[in-house]
Amino acid sequence: MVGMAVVGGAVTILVATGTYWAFTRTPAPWPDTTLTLVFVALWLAWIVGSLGFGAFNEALDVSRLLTYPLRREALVITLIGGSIFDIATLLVVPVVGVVLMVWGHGAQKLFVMLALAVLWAHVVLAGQIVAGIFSGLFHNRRFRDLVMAMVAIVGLGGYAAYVAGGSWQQHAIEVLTARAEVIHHVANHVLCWTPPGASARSVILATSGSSGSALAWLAYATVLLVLAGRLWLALLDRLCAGGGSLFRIADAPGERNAGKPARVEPGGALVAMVRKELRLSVRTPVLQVRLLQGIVMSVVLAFITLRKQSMDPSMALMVPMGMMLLLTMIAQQNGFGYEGASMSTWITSPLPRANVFHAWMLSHLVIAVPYVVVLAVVLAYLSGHPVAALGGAVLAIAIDVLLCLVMFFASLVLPFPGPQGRRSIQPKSAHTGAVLIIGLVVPLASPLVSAPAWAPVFLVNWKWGEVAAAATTLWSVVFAVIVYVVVVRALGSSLVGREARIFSVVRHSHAEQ
Amino acid sequence: MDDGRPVYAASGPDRAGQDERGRMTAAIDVHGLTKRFGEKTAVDAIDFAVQPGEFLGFLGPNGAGKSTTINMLVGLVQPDKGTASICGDDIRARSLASRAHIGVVPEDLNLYTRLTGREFIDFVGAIYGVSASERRRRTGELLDVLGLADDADKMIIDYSHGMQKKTSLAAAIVHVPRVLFLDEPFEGVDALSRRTIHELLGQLRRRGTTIFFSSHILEVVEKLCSRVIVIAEGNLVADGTVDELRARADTGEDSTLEDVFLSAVGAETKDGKLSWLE
Repeated sequence: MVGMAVVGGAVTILVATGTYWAFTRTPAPWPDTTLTLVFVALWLAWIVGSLGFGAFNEALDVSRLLTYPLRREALVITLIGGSIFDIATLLVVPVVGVVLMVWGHGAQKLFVMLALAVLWAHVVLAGQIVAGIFSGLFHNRRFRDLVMAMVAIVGLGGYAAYVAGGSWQQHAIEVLTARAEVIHHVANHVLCWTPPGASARSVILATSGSSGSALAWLAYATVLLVLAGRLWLALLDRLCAGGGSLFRIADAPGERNAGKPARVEPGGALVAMVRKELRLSVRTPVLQVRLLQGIVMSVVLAFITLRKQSMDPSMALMVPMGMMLLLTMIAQQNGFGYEGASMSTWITSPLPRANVFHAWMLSHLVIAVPYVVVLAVVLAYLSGHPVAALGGAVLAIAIDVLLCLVMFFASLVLPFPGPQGRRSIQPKSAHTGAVLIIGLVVPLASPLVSAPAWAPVFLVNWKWGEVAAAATTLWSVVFAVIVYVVVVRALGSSLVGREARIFSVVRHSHAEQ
Repeated sequence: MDDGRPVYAASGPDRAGQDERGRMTAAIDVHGLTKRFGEKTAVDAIDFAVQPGEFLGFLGPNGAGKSTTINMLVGLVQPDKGTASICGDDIRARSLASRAHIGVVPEDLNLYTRLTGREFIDFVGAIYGVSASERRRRTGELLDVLGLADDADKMIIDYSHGMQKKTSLAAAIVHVPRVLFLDEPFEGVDALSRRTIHELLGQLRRRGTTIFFSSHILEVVEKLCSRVIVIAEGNLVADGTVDELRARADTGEDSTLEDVFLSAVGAETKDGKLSWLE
């Protein structure tokens, strides 16, 4: 909750600041358009948020209250009261404050407050209606997995925008300017007929002195509010009477076995561990998201870098390494945390402990090697230096192995619960130190630890060119293999004595169910 | 000291362990085992031995230290003091060797829920060294016998609690352990499956598997177990057959295990009446 408040608060303040700027510094009719868009965005955000977060926020799940003999009035008061003190509601306060500050003068402020109250009522009702209609989905495992994936994708979009920085903002302004007429028309003639749009229209007209028209629009918004309220009450009546949610999707029955011969899954303990890792990577939402984040972030960063730099052999050598650094730091962080309580399965077994790390490494390479191969082909094409691109790919794999070892070591000595093993979004304060150390120290230590692998390559490239440098990457591979063998053996020995403690740290998990 | 490298389990549960003088090695041998969590002593220097082939019931009230004891023996918790061995292998000095002998159904199931039931059982068989063809055969039979065949290819996350329990049990016995630790194995399991599990445990016992069984369902313990140990507040308070405990507790010939248990832990039954229900 603290994390959500911090992150959400920062975003809200940014939005409020941007909104204030749009209201006060842009030429007409942008302030009017912005007000309508902000109100509509708020309303839509509540609808989408109720649908998404209902899967994880017990307060939004009405069905939990339906086992009790609550009268409709009590249910209404409970749900509305809960909304007032919800963090999401509080996060809206800065934006509301900006609207109050900028719009209306003197007595008009009272009208603006009334319009904002009607807006708030619409927003809350919309969220409650959506939660009521779709509450049957909240218990569906596939729906919850989908929500997690969508949240991660939205987060990636935010990251991409941040990385793109000024160039994205400039591009956005150009697009808005080019489409200004359409945007104004949609906002002021189409969206004004929506509940939040009507509230915005009444505020705009009141501020410009057209009290009668403002009142008419507010009355319209109020009529819509009454209709929404009646819909909500009808929905509550249906839920209270045992009618159930309108939207229910049963989990798929899964593949029926009916007489089909089971296939043999070959291989011993190590192969079984690798197979397990790959299956979990593909099927577990948090792991899918983690991998997707690693791939997308590294590609975006490379794209941004290459746009600013010319593609010489040094870049073809360096870019794959940088991308692998980012991918691995994201995709291999906190290995034991992501194992969670399930690691008890192999803790209680005679599994050679080095196999845990071998399995992580091999399953990572199953994804990393094709990734690097594709990268090498693209770089060879873009740079016109295929030998350097090949060398860059080989170097990237060698560095990746070394970086994985750093991540494995970090997870061994500083484990903390993974997201599926925590009861809140943020790790506990007891684990904050581990998170910080891993977040700061690992990125700094990794280049140093891997220096014997990459430094000779760049030195040779500087002195004798790309062909010699590409050949030198073979040394990088040999070095990585030697270090891997020695380190994994040590990690395996160490794990036996530490695994009970690691298990006690990462075990508090039932979030998967 | 274990260095994490491969160990190879002694073969077959039907051959009792013997030391170099040919004496029978206890399947489980515990001396002074202690665990503290902060100020609280969860397990206080307990001593006991379980002979090969015994079916031991391990009882105690909530918070007595049952699960902590089991977790120490199977490697999930490090003891603070004391020693223990499984089939002669010290749980600390030869930890991986000791774990080669065991199968575990923990109270908190902690399964890989994104694997299917079939995949999970096969996975556990593989890490215990069962060959691929043998794993396939045993996994199929286990799923069939435990009534999981129709759902074998569904992910465990979609299983009911009872199905997850049965999956955990299947995984615990796929490699035919010499010592089987069961912590509340019947919780959430229907009567039909319970009967099947009884038969499976009987089969394992006839093969010589030692079963260390913890449950709150005393009727089941009384029916299955050849010997009972009772732990309360971290201390062993009773150890013997049900008849022996009955005689010692002086609760009468017709007393149930529940009566013996309550006597052993010194529990005073609270008056279960609520004033507002009278």
